Amino acid sequence: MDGRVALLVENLRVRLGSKEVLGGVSFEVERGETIVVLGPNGVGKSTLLKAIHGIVPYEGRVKAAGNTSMIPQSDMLLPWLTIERNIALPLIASGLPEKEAVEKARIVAKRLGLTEYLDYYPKQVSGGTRRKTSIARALAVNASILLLDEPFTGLDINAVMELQRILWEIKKSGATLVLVSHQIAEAAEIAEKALILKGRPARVAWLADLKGLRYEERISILRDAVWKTLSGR
Amino acid sequence: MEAASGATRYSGFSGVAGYIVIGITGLTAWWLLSRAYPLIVPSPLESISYLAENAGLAARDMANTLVNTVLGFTAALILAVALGGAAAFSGRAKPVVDSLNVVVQSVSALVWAIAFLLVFGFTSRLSSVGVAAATAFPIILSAVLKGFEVARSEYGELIAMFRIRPRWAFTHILIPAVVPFLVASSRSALGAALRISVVAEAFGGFGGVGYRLFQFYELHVYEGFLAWSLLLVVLMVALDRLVLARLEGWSRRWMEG
Ligand SMILES: Nc1ncnc2c1ncn2[C@@H]1O[C@H](COP(=O)(O)OP(=O)(O)OP(=O)(O)O)[C@@H](O)[C@H]1O
Ligand SMILES: [Mg+2]
Repeated sequence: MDGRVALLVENLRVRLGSKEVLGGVSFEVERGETIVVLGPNGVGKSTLLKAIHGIVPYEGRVKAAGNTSMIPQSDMLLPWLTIERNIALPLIASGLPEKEAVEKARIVAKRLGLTEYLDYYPKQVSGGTRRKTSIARALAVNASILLLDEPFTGLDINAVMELQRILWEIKKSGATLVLVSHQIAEAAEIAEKALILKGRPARVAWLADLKGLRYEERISILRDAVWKTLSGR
Repeated sequence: MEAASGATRYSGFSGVAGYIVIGITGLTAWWLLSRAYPLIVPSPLESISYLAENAGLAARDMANTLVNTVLGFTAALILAVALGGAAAFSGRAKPVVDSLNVVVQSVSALVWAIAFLLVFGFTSRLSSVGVAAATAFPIILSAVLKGFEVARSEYGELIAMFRIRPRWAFTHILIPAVVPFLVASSRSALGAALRISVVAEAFGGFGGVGYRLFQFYELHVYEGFLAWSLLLVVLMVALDRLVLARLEGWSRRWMEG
């Protein structure tokens, strides 16, 4: 694998039950790049992220230069733990002393503007705060590749803008992002690459490099591609 | 704080009001019955003064029944949690525990009562304890099994996603997720155990509320019979409201918005 490549996916096939969900998906992402994954509901976007993360069985090849960390489509917070404990959960579970884990969780929480909510329970805070908690939990585990499953869904305009800023910051720190999203405008802003999944089983229907293009150009290319690949289905 | 004051208002006022309405209705019906059938049904006043005269005996009977029930319930709780946990943790234990669950659901309390009397003898408190345990056990076990099932479907993906070790996930994620199921079922299990262990006492000779109720029946002391029955109801309601309902609220405290 080329030294610049952070993630290589080759002929990835996934079967869930009796259904073939992914039927040979290939792409690669360079270090520090962001790829946005588009596609209709149920096509297999979440499944793709889970296969990359190694929590569903697959055939084919996934090579990741570094650990992956996942921000799931539903936040999956533990309702009986505070925001702070939820962020620290994977760290504590992995055997890090509780004090260190909590300290680390607080640092990440501060970066995401969660400090004032640390002692609240998930049911007591807004959906945006829960989403940020889920992101903080994934960031706290120190992975170089982040898998984000529709992080913008269900957030209001302010929360989306804030999340956008957070993603930029994560990007600047050198992380590689795989971003599943239906929000073309938000995706176009940070993505260097884009792919569209289509069909049953799903394959890559379109894959493009957006590097060096202006924001307006990226948006129009993405809109065009989505319209052409997905409208006549 | 908003939610807390709302909850207090509900259980504090509406809760008590409900019991007052039921209490007044019950006493009125009782009084009317005692007027209609004065030879069989003693009046509330007669029963309550009988209770006051025999307060020591009543307290001893209550204590005996309560101890039998709580001991049996505790044994059932430990056993059900251990077996439910084993089923959740080990694929090999699961079918055995699942089958056991179905079997114990279908054994009558009377069968347990007679069986334990035969095993432990007529004067042992253990027969009543055993019946309480046998009554509480299936209720708690099925709730624990259900709880683990729900916890697994709810948090299984999270556990995989952060590669959390099975043992840690079991003690820190699955067990806490089961606690509300456990507490909710304990509430009904303890109630059922109290109601049924009294039946076992009636068959035996150890004592307790059930033994005394049967004695009152045989000796035609109907005011005693009614007084002890009333006391049992009051005891159960107090136990539920003052201990179990609070415990359940506590176990679900993070559910409030
Ligand atoms: N455990 C499973 N067993 C069988 N089929 C499954 C399982 N999980 C998901 N699927 C199926 O796999 C397909 C892909 O699901 P996936 O969640 O990856 O889609 P998605 O593209 O993320 O959809 P959405 O946009 O709604 O999030 C769906 O048709 C779904 O029904
Ligand atoms: Mg999805």
